[in-house]
Amino acid sequence: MAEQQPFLNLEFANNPEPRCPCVLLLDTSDSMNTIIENPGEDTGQTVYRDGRTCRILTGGITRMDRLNEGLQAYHKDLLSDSLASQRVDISVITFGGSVQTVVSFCTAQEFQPPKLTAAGDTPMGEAILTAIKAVTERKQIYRNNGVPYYRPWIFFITDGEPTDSAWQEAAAKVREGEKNKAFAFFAVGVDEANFDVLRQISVRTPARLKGYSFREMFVWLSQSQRSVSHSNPGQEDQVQLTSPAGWAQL
Amino acid sequence: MHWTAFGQSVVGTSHSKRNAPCQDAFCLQVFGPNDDWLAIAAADGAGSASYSAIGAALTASELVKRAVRAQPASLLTRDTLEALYGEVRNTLHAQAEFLRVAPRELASTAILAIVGPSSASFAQLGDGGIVVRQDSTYRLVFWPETSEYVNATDFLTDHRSLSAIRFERSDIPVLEIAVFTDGLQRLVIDYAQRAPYPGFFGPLFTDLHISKSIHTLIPPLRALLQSEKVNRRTDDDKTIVLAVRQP
Repeated sequence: MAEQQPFLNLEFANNPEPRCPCVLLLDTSDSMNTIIENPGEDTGQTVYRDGRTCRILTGGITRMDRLNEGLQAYHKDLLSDSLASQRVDISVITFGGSVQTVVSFCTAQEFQPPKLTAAGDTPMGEAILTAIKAVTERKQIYRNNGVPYYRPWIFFITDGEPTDSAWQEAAAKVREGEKNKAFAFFAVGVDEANFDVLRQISVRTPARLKGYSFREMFVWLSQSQRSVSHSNPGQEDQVQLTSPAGWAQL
Repeated sequence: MHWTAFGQSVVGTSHSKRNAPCQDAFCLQVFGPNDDWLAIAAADGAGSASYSAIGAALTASELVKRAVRAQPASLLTRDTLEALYGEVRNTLHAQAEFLRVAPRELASTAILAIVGPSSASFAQLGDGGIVVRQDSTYRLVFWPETSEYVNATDFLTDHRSLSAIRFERSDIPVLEIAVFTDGLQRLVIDYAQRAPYPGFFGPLFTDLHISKSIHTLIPPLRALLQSEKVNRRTDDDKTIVLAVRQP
């Protein structure tokens, strides 16, 4: 009898993949409707919204449009990496008028980038508290199911300043969470974002978006998470993130 | 009695993409007056360290080289193995000085198994694992350490590494043993059952027992470690050393 080819019948344990949770905490207040390219006709109408007086124009490309394109690029880049697409867990929470969980946590594979629209004021404080609660609950779910995980990221993008009073409480919770390594909080300010407030909220230096390079920023975010998701949980602090110089002024 | 033993290291897909070398290493040697003792070492160089391929190779070879010089029975205590790790750490520090880099650049995990006819001792610093069969079941000697973000691993070059070594002595004869690095950990350990995965280790050792020569096993083991079903689950370097006791 011919000797059977060895090691062909081995099976592997089917453990759950470690997860790399990330909340995209996105400003969808009215100011995100600001037209940044190809403005259309001036209707002459003036309104007071989201703390500012605005003229209504027709057509044009808004900040929100650029952010939505960025989300698509983010998803596409994650999908090109088979390990990252199984490991990066994404949730999208928006704050514009009210705080909404637009996408509950799901892997990059399952993620469908939403098409966000902007309206209302900027309840930034409540939004941050919601994101912290979401990552805390997510970690509990991982623990209950024996799923290893990396430190969660909260990636916060705004073009304004808080219109609610909860932001100071939120800032204290961010500091506490960073100190306990419960999560990492990254803040990005766009245009007239209030950096005095951002610096009080984020322990890490807030980044100023260069122009409207949302796409470059989201591809950087994806690539950073790809690096983290290829490390061992617990060793992600050793991962060298690439410089955000392509999209940020620090 | 004698040992049939061999091992292989295969570079991970993330390393081969970057043209980085394999940063795993292993070493094994039969020793003792009757050649019935076996020393196995495996080392996984830190991905973030620039000379970790050298660090891992030195760690594995020096651990075995120093172990086989000793009186076999003396290797069954924590003190002896800790001292042996200390000597290897000194070698790494000397090598770092020679290369003019910080010792951290040679960071590597370090596993050492010493198996004799009736007793064995195991030491482990950092991740990876040792699986043994001493009766009818497979046992993982050291369960991965758990902190919130799972296994923040230890390296031999670290300042306090010697106190972080885990040690076990067993006086039940070891019939089969496998030592593997972190790259394979999640594929061969069943975390829900908290046990080695029998569907992997069972057929693996059966094939080793029935083989006429280990040379015929090397190509299929390499093929397995490089296979798509492994690479889908890990992009890290992976090493496994296997040994079975023959009557």
